[in-house]
Amino acid sequence: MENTVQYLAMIQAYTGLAIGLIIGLGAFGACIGIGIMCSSFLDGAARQPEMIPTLQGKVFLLLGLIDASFIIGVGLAMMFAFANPLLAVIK
Amino acid sequence: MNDAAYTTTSRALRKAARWQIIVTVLISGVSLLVADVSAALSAMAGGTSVIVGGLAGFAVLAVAQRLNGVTPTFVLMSLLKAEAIKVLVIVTLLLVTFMYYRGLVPLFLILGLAGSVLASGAGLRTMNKEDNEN
Repeated sequence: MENTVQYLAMIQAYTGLAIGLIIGLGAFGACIGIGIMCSSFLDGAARQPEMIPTLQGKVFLLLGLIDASFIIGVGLAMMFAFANPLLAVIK
Repeated sequence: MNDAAYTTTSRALRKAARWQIIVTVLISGVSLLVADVSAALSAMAGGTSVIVGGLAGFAVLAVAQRLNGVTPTFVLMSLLKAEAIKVLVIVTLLLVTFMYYRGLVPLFLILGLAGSVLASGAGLRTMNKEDNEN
């Protein structure tokens, strides 16, 4: 019984760490990508202002793609937070 | 948002949304075959949250740009606001799904979510085609 509680606590602690890493590293990567793309957008808009309407649509769609890994990571993190499959080992 | 930008972006977004719906329904159908109705509904919930988030982001983009104007800085600010709202809506919908849907199958929800997010890149094809025609 005591062992089971210890295992449970350990799994929950490591899962908490994993959730933080998944969300944190995902956000870190997305931020770098968005920063690079936004600087390129400003660069392009300053050089050719008439291209702004074309560029902004592409930027909006690419923002979604850059954020894809982050959003998938958030989904995975929620899975571990609300329905942790690793806890099945104890049962 | 000016008319040219609105038309181009909305056309691309419509194309992306169409592909997202197709991919979500496809994954949902496969989930129904592989597992059960709960898995199919979970996949559908994952895909739908991304589609609704994208539409909310586009609505915010259109409103913010109408209010702010079309200088590069304001365009960029509107784009980032729209993206923030999009992520917020997606996370909220996922949270609600995880909290209140009792029969949830998390793996299929993630599959639906991932498929739908990745399919949003299909809108770029429309824009490339338009660029080549001009």
